[in-house]
Amino acid sequence: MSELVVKGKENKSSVKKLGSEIWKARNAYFFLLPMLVGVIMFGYYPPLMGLYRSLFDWRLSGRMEFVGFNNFKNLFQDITFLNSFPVMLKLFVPSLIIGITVPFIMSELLFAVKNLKLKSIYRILILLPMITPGVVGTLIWKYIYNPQDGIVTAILRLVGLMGKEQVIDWLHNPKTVIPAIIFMGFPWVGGSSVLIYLSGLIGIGNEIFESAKLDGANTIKRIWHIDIPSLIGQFRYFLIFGIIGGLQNFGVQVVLTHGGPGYSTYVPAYYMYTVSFTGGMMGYGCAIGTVLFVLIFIVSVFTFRYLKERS
Amino acid sequence: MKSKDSTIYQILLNTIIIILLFTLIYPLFMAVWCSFKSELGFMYTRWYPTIPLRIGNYSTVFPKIWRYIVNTIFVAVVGTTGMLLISSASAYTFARLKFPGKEFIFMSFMALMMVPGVLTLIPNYMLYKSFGLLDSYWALILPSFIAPVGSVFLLRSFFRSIPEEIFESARMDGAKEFTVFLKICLPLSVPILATLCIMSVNGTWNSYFWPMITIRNNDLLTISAGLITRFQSEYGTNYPLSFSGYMLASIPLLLIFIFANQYYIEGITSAAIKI
Repeated sequence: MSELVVKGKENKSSVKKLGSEIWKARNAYFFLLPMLVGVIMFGYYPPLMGLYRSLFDWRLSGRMEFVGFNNFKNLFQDITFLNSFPVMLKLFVPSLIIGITVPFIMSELLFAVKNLKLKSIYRILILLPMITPGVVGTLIWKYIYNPQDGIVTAILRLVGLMGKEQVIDWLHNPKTVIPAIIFMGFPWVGGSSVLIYLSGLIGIGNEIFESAKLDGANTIKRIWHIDIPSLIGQFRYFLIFGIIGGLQNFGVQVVLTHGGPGYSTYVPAYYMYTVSFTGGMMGYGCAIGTVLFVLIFIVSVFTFRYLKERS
Repeated sequence: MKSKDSTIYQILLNTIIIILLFTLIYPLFMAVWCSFKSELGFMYTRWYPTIPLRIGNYSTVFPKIWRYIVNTIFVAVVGTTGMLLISSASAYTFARLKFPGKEFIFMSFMALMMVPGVLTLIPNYMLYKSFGLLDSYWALILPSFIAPVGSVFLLRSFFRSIPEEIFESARMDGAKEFTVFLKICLPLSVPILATLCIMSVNGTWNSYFWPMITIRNNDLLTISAGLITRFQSEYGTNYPLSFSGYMLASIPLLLIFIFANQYYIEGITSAAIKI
């Protein structure tokens, strides 16, 4: 900052003025200092380094060699990498749709409840799954999918969809693993998003609902013409952060599937992790990170644009 | 006639909600009661709770888990305190002080929220490696200082809503800026600080990936990472014991949920409303 100030020599008096303003505000900079140092070191340095190092053959051991765009060239001939994109889409699109719509439907159900005591009990029950660490939630689902005696198998045997002796290893069968991951968290009505929608619905205000009632609007019409437009901010938030989070999420792979069986649940971000932390090829990993970054950037800009035009 | 209709409608509605919530929560409750069963009991009666309760499961897993929990508490306390101090100091500066470059610096902080984790993961790891911070508490604590740039945004809006006269009168009495911040601003901001505190503790409790890759030493691992690495490989096949481990790991969060329910709910819902 101060170097920039010194450079503008043509306008000496205003420079001096700015200098004295900066000196006067030295307290402010002092307050900012810890955050500023942190932001530069751990906020700005790593992503810039990530972009730059994608041009290097950079190893975990520290060995480094400039290779230009070779990493990217190899990447687009790397079958594992290319195949990980369809897998990502298969996992990400259904989860995103579920994550946005189901909590909304649940919040409408809760909003319609008249009994206030029940309503507040429901709200607490919705949050209950969040008091276990997220990892525990996933591990409990691992048991639910247990091929011998998990809940899924037990229910399907009970209703006759599976034979008594039939065994399906949901998480280790390439045909079932992706639907199984999407189905995790069923019925998806827990967590904060329901409450976020609900507080949005409460915020609309009774007068508007009353006047809609007087106009003869039924519940479906009201939801379509009043509730959804009023919650557009919440929908936008869940959509944008759902996209950003979904494209780089590989939690299930780390905790449950390890990309398997075979390569059937490899998503690009998980491939990045294995390439760099198991394979030690940090530069190649940075190239994957760069591709994902560009992808996330493009998709979120388009979503922003599209949503703006619509509203 | 109409009121009868709406009563039936309400009963139907509540039934649907209860079924949904039951489906949602049943696996969790099952984990709770199965954590008190013997392996044999688990084989035959896992769908419902039974007595006697085998408290012994908990004393078996406690020696494996307590270290992770203590580590997590330590990391959460130090990390959260540091985060609150650092981000409230900068939020105060943005909200209350005038200085050249203010908007630019603020925007450059906020822009960080747009940087995805996939891009920073590897360089970040190598940065910690080159500083020799891997396998130390620093690798766990430092990220929570800087990661939540969003908290600066939330704090700034809160600090702005405090009437300026309160600060002005303190300054008139000759209080230094730092004293105004520490003695007046922070005490008035307890609600938002508590909310952020819970968000941060919750984050530490849930984070597993970063600890998993940066920490090799079993004595330094935090709870979520410890559960999926060591604990899983040791007890993964014994369900009652794994479930008691999971439940033990959840107790601190449960306590927060019980005693700071309001802040907790605000903590997890406020992010979306403000943006």
